Amino acid sequence: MKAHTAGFKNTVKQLGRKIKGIITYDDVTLEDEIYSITPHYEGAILKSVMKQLDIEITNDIPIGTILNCQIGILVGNDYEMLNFGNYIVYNSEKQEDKGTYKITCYDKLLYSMKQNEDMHITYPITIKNYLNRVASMIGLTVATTSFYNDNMQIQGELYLGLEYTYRDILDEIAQATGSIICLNENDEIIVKYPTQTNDTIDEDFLKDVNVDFGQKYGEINSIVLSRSGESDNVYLRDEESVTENGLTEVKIVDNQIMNFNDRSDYLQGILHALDGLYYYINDYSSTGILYYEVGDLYNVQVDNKTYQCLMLNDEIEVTTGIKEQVYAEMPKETETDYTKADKTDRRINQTYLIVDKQNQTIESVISDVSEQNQKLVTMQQSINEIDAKISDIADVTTSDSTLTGTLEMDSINESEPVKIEIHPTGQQISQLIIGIKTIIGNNAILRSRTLRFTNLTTNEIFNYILPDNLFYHDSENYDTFTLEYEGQICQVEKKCKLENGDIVLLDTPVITNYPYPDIHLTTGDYRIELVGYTGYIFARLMCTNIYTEQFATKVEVTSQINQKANEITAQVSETLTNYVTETQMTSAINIAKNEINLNVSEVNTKATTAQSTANNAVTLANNAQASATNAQTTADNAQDELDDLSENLTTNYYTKSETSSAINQKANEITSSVSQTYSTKTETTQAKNDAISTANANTTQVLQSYSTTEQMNSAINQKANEITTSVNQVSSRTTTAQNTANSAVSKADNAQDTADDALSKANTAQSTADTATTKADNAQSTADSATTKANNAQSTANTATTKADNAQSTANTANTKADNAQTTANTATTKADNAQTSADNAQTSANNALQDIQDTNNAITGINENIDDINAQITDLVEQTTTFSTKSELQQTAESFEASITQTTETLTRSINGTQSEISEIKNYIHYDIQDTTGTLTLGKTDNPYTLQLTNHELKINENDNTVAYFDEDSMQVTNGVFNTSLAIGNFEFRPETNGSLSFTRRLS
Amino acid sequence: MFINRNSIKLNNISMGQYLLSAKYEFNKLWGSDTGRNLKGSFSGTLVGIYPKITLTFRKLTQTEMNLIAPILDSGSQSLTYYDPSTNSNKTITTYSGDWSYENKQIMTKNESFSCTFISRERRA
Repeated sequence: MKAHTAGFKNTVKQLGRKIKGIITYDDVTLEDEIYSITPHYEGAILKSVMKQLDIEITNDIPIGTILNCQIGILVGNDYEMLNFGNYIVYNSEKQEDKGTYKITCYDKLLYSMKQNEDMHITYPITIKNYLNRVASMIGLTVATTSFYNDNMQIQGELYLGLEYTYRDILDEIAQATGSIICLNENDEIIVKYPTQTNDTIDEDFLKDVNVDFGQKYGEINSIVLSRSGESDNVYLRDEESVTENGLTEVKIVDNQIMNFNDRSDYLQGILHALDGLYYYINDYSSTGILYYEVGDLYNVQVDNKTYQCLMLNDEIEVTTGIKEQVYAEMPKETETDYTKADKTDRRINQTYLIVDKQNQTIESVISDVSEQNQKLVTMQQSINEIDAKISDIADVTTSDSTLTGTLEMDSINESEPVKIEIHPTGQQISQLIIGIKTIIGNNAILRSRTLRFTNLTTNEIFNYILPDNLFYHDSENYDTFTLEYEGQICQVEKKCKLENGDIVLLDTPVITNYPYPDIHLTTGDYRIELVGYTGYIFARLMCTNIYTEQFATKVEVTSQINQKANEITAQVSETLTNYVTETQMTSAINIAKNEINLNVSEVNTKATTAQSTANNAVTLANNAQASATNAQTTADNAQDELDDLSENLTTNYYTKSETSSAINQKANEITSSVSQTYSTKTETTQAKNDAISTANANTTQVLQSYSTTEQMNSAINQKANEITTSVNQVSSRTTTAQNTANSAVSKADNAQDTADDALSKANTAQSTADTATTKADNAQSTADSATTKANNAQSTANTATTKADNAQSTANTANTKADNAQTTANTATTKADNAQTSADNAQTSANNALQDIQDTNNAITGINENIDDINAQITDLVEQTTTFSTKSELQQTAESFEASITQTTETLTRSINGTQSEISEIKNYIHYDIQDTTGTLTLGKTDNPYTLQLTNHELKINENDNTVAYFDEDSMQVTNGVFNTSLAIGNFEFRPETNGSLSFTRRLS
Repeated sequence: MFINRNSIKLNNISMGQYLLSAKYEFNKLWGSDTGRNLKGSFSGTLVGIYPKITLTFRKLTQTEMNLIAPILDSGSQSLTYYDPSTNSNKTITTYSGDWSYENKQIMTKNESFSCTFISRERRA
């Protein structure tokens, strides 16, 4: 609560209060420039609260300016101002329609609205020191020296690297300390708790609209710390308050400071801070309270009901009046299932999930520890791995003990006793009844030391005779029988002995082992008893449970346990992507990781390969292009050769038909020749004959050249061979040419194929090249664009630099001018002061002169009146002149008139002079005001203390401006009166006599 | 009248010689929060008391009118008056109301007229 006087509280609610708002910063004080001031905040318990200030003002205030706000009420003769603290100007907005500025400011908690950085803290650190460190990081200090949980330890870094602002951290500290964190008037951080002000406001403070007081919140009596999606809760309750008032819990969710298993240590402090806190939900408009602060508990009295309220949200709008809007809402209700919550995390049985945001790990633990079982499932997830462990240790035995010698145990499995321990508790467990000087005789009765197991389900009885007596000496010393299955131990530890009928202690205990008995119990409920004795029995037997229902032996049980554990493991493993062990899990993760790496590597390789392929493609394309060119050249050459060959063949060689034709031609030529020589058959015959004859003749002649027929045949054959040879040569050459042509065609085809391939590759290469070109173009475009932008940026930067330089220069100039202006202003101020003084003097002189002028004017008025009189006289004279008929008369009259005027003027001058002096003299004795409607005439010299005033309805005699006597209507009033001779009233009078007496007589008429 | 009419000055010019009468008003201005509270009481902030002075001028000559009119026409004036609550002369900044004058005949003087001057600031 802001410090204020009782007068303030009394005045602020009164009609006609006067308010004032002041904004100050640097050397500037703003008051008349302010249109409105609106400080406001929205708070909550367990939060940090930043205050805001909105100002509407005619002057702009530079952003970043730190200003102070005060609002006050006129109490008595002085304004009592309340300090609303310092604020940082965060935003300024010109409201063009109003010509004002809307300034938005926040208190210095604004500095906390930035992401946290390394605070260079050595851990562990107390919350108090941690808060100090946070404060120093944002340039503030902490004023509160002690608060709840201030000595709790933070073990390590919590927020670094996480997107937590310092404000977020302050919020979590507020939760951990059960407080509200805000700033005081000195801009120091305070850790504040709801504070009882014991102040009450009544209906005088409330407007007659919008006044709501709702249900009661609280009393707070339970604190719940929650994490893991509000599934992992620990709590502390004020059970007495819960019983009395019902449950009201405050749940704190996912607080990083209270995220570990020491979190229940915080509960006590937080509950102390908030236990019993209650307030009424409220929403009301006030005519102005002004002095409450966030976290203040106060009372509102309405209709004889009193509501305790907690100030959480407040908005004070100060314009020409004050309107204060206050509200406190119902906190978000939480309902924790306490059956699933615990009071501490430090229990044997644990179920928790810790989300460590700092280390980016999630640790979950489920443990169930009982006498017989210990099950534990832990899982730790980090960014790189999941570490899961499941352990299941089951004890399938059940134990019980008794001091009476008899006990019952249910659901015993078919087995041997796991452990039996027996010792006497007073009565000796002995075959003999131990008494004083017992004499063992024939009639002595031996009692059995039977340990009996009775199956109550089947009524089977299993007896075991203890191998030795068990004596009792005192509560510390007695014999003990032990049967232990695991070690196959059956023994009696003797500390006592029977000596002369008395039980005495042995010097040292003696342990005697006995053969391990065979006690096979069947399934059922059992009674175990020392028949006929009382004493201590401890028994641990195999019990029936989920593990033993199917298997009887320990080995089987153990095996089953292992199987169950494996099943659980397998199930969990199945859930965890079918990995059984941690190693496998890690391995699998590593494999996956390697696969990812491999994939990445493959991608890289493929990218490299693709690049290489592309490069090769380009090379191949180039080569293909070259090859294509070469192939084209080769093909062209081949074509040329083919053409040459074809031409050669065409030119120099015949085709087979041509050859045949040629042969035929030759033959025809021959025939023709023959025909020409032998035209008809007859002729031919003749010719033939002739020829034959000739031939014969020639033959004969030839034959004469050839000696024999063989020679002839030989010659013919030679010619035939020659012809055949020629024909063969032609045919061979034709075949060769054909082969050559075919070869050329084949080569051409190959060349064509090669060319096609090359063309395809070239096309591909062209496509690749086009793609590369496109990409290159795009890259070039992008680069150009980037260059352009860079150039633009450079240009802009240059422009900005230039402008900055200009601005700097302008600022310097302005600064210089401002200095000059300041100097000029100072000079002007001095001159103005001098001028003011001169003006004041001049004013005084002017006033005096004005008064003189007024007097003169009055005089002139009188003169004017005289002139009017003269004019009237002149008018009369003129009128008189009309009665004269002759010139001489006129002349005389004119002269007389002139003389009269002259005389009159002289007289008038004298009269005026006399009048002025007379007027001055008269004014010393007679005063009257022409404008005064009372018509007051004052007689008496100006400096005379006595004056006589006559008004429209009274006559007054004054002494020193005090009326000492006056006549009003028909009566006279005199302050003091002295009558020397007589005082007459009507027909009577008072008269002093010469003898000193006073006579009252009737007056003589 | 106990108030000396010469105490009235407009823009530091004594108005006494030009005035027939002066009317003084002291008006209260209530704040935006004025109204009745929940208790039914009238409550509110008194923003301030704003003096309002009405001057009635006598018939003025042309010369006098030439002196007075610009003052009446200006957006704000400096007005000095005798304040009875403090028993002293006070100078305030005023804004003025509309004013008019009448000439019944073509004469050297106009008829009497009035003008109102209202303080811009609340009385201190």
